[in-house]
Amino acid sequence: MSIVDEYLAAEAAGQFRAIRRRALRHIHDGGDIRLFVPFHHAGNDFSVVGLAFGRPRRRPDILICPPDPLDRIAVVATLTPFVDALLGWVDTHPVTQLTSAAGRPYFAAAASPQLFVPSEGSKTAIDNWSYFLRHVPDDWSNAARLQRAGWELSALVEAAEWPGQSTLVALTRMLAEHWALGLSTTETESLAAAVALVKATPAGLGWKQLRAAEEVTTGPLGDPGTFDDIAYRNARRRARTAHPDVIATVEAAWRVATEAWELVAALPEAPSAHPAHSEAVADWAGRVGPGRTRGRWARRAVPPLGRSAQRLGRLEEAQESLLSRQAESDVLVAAELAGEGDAVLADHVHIDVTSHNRKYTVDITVAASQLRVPEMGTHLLVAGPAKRVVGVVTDVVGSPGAWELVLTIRANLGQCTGINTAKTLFPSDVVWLVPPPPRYRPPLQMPSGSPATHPGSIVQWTPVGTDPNAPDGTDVLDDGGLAQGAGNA
Amino acid sequence: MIENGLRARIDARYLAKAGAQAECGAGRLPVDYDRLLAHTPFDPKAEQATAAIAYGNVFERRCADDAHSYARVLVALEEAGLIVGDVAVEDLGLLDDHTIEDLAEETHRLLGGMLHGDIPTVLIAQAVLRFEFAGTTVYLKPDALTIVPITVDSYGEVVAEGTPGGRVELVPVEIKGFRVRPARYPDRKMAGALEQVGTYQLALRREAVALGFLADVVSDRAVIINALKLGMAPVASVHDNRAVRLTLERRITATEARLQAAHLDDPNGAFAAAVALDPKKATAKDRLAVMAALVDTYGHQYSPECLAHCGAAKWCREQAADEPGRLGNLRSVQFAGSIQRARRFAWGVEAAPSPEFEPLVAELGDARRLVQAACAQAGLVPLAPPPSGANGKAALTTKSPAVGRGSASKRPVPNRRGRAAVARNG
Repeated sequence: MSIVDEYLAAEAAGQFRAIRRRALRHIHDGGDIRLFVPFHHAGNDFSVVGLAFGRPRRRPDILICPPDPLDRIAVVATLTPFVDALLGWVDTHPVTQLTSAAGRPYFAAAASPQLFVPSEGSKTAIDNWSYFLRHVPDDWSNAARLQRAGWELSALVEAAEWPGQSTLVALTRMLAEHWALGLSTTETESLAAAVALVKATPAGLGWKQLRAAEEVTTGPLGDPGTFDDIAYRNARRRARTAHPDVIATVEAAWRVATEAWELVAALPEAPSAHPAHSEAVADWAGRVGPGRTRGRWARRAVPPLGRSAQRLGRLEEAQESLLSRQAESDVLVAAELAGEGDAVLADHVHIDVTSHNRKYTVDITVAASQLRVPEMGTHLLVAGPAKRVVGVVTDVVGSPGAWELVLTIRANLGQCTGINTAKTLFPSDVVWLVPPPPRYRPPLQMPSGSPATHPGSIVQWTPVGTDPNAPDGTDVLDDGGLAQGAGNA
Repeated sequence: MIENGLRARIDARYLAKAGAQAECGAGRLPVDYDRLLAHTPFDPKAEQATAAIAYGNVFERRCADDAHSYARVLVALEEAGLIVGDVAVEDLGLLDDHTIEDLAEETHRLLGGMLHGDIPTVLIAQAVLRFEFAGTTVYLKPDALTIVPITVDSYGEVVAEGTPGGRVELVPVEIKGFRVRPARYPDRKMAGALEQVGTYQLALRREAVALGFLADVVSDRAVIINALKLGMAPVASVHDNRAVRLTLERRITATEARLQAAHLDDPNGAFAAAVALDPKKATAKDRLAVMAALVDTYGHQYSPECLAHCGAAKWCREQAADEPGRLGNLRSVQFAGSIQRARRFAWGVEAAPSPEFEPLVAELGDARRLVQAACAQAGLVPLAPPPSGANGKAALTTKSPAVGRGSASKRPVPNRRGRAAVARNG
């Protein structure tokens, strides 16, 4: 955690209310998002106690609470309205097959579905349900559509690894990204508590209110164990409908999720949000493209080592680039980087523009008085209100607490937005210097489609069998991180 | 000794979490905090999920099968590389008419026979292990104990399994109903299960010594059996549990010493009062007073992890409102010693008390300045400075109505870290 983050956390905890840590919204709103609130039994990841799905408004479009969450055949029968709504929605995001310059086919899409869920736990629940749906036996009614819903959900879960993505977003994480809540990581997972802190008046929340908020998403019972118990006993009594408390709980969770979305949606969107999301869209298109166009859905639980390394490298690169892009437009991100010495807040700026054979050189001398400064040679980007210049730090002069940076920036004036030959910088201007996206390459380069084993590597991955439950038998089993033998059965 | 009341049941779960918070004196006491703070504003509401228990029982029965042969478990063990050899299974769960002491004695006898090679048994199901803990005999119930012939190299590493006539080792096996499936590893659940098995390993080592064997005859490997994917097929995974076992050993020893001291010297009678409290008659005020007395006497230490396993966590959280540990591990706030103090440092309301604090004060001041500049540029509401003066203590602690009502809460609650920080900071 950065020093600015730590300071903001202390402020938020001290004032008992949320403090903004982002000036803009860094989640793209494509205008057709859906909320998804899942509940399952604590002891069975594949059970369906309740779900709510739909547009973010007072009531969900779909609310399903099966009377017996453990009766899978009965459960999938009740899921038909949800599956219809889900597939109807994802199908409005078409995927096109294109051919690259090298002659390879690839898939692209203008937009992806955007699903918002209450917490990280909900993402895990959806991942488990998607696994369950993908492996619904072919002879069950509506099997093909259930399986496809499973594959579509899986694709969303996996595309959600991209930094800056807005494909599958946990609302708790989204709130924690935009506000310092003054809570520990464990407590931040309570969406209702986070919402209460964001909505708190300047006087702050009290412990009593916080405790009450923490119990909201477990419904009128205020206790996950009791909630589970009621759903279970209701099923054992062979009730024909779900218990009213279960329905009330799912509805309460839905209302909180809607409130959370509204809080974030009210922020102006950062210019970097859409480009960041586009990378996730491309990733998502690559996953659903083959299934949608060829009807062949397949995935590897653990991809070959070479492909994993490449993907990890791309994710790292995307993360670094994302921070820089966010800092360009959001001064609070720039402040966070400056606190770590990855950017500079300029106290005074002096600009000299000189002409050499119709080329302009812009020399900027910046005085900064913060403790940490970027290393010499760092690529920097000058960003302020309506100002943007790319340059390199060529000298750092000064001592801690009274730094002076001398930057030489060589660029066409046309690229130096907001800086003209009249050298206009207003006294009220605050200039942030933030690093541009790095030119990063994955540390381990392997040809795509490389074999599962990589000779000489420390890690060796071996497929151990074929999943008999997979619809087309192509799912590759792995030990999923388990020690010996887990995947051999 | 006072029994019943709110004395916590000492079992594998208790032992696995014993001393998890090294500085928490109250947390080590065998007090049932879930029930102590029930019907108060800090009710942990920690009911166990009925569905989870029912599901776990079904899976255990499926593993045992109708004939109690545990054939599926043995197959899973073999697939995981644990070749147990000729199969003879003793299921102590069938001995309904036996007391727990009888079952522990029977387990002891069977273990002796297995280690001496006198009996063909290779797996004891529903075993009962005796474990002396702080003057109390605790009975632990591992799902299964198995004996595996092994060959080790000169470094003591297992190089081959299933070599008859050679060395053997005892391996505890735990059956857990949670699922494993490709691409989703249940890491937290698995970690919890391994801590539980760690307590069995400790008890088993003591049994081995009592039988005249070296404690090392008990393997540091732990076997967890889970349901595979969507079905009920058991699948075994083998884990190196040495680090967990060693950590538990130290924690349990420390907790044991503390508990024995508490039995001998319960200065204010706080512990005795807690375990004697009648949960049916006690009012919320009584319960909170008992809680405060326990913490007054034995001290406490809150961290966010407490919320996951301790029934008193919500109460302690509010007592620790201004403590840095409430937010997790934040370096600068930890060093400042309190949340409000970190704020005062940042705003320059409080100066560095000694030279070692100067870099921290400068860093926090710098962070505040950066945030202020950014907020001004973004048009956000500027942050307000904290109340000045040495007494600008957390507004938070005064906002807890439930604590404010409790008689004991008006006394300052001792906190080792807080006291140490004040002493250090002058």
